[in-house]
Amino acid sequence: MSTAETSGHDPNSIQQDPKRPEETLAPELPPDPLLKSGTFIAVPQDATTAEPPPQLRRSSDDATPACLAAEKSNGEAAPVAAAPAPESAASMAETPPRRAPAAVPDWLPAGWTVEDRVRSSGLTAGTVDRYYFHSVSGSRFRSKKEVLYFLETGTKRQKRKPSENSDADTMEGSGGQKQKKSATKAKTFALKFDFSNVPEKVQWVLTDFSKGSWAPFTGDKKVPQTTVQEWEDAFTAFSSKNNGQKLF
Amino acid sequence: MDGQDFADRSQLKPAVVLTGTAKEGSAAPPVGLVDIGVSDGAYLFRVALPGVRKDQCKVKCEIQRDGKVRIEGVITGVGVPKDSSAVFQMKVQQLCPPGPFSISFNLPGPVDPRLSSPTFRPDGILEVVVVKRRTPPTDGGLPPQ
Repeated sequence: MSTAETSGHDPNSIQQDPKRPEETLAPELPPDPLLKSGTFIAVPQDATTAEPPPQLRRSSDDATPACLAAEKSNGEAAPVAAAPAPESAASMAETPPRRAPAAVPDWLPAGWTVEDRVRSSGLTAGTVDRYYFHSVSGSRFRSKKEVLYFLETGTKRQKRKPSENSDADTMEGSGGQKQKKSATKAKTFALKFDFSNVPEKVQWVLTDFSKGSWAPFTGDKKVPQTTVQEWEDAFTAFSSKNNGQKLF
Repeated sequence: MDGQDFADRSQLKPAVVLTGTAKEGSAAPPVGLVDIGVSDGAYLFRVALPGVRKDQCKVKCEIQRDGKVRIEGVITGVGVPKDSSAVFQMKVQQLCPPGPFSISFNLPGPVDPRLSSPTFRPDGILEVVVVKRRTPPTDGGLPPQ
């Protein structure tokens, strides 16, 4: 038990936000049994952990008093920084995932939070993964693209091709850079599509109600499948292009 | 582009034309209520089609490039409950009576009717995103208004 300068408001401490679900896919997970709500683990600054000093989550409500469990049990008002030795802190906490600062980007509406998590083990240790959390639904997203798709449609994007997975990998580093890539990809799609010759009208007919598929007709003729595919590609390209890059 | 303005105005005065049975079922959860939304590149519209059975409705959604939308369909099987062969004579008929209907309205601007993704949601809402018409800078077409 070292009483030290690690006061309750040390910004360099990893704070366990009680409202923060460990995994957002199951937002109602019980809290960590080892940590009481409102408790945090103070990490001394000279700790050997090589990670950058994590800061408090941007959007967390600061109302949570950073009280220490030990403080309560002691009953003493002493300037308790009952910060256990680093080793015991680590073992006691099973260290929550490293959560690094995350600036909330401009395009993100209210009700969302961003987290940059540093991978702590494995070959890719040190890699920063950016996550977007939607607080209402508890959904987690890996990219701006996914978030914007969700904002537009209200549903999570289905992975269509294996190549989509590569999006996640390009998120490494500063997180904001992958848009350029996806935009170029979208552009090549769109270029196959003749934007100038817009038909007078298209009639969409619900053909298979169980699958919910619609077939377009121009005039009285059904549009051939290859053309429909081109349209779909262009539409998909448009949707992904909507990621703030206004090419339309 | 004054898409936002249009949205504001249209909330005050939705210009939706109903014909057929959509016009008559006035006490019912109305067929043909329309929502219209605008994004940077596309329009979204939702049309309430309560009582329109997916499997028998023959729903068509015609989109013109000037933004005119016409939705057609048929309301069927009012006296025949789903999964039943018995026929009931209706004593109270507040839901939309059977018959064909159409719903017409205008989107705020020109669209590319090819770039559209209709979905008939299980809750009886037809939801369609349609991309705004892109005017290539070279051909000096209509401004995307």
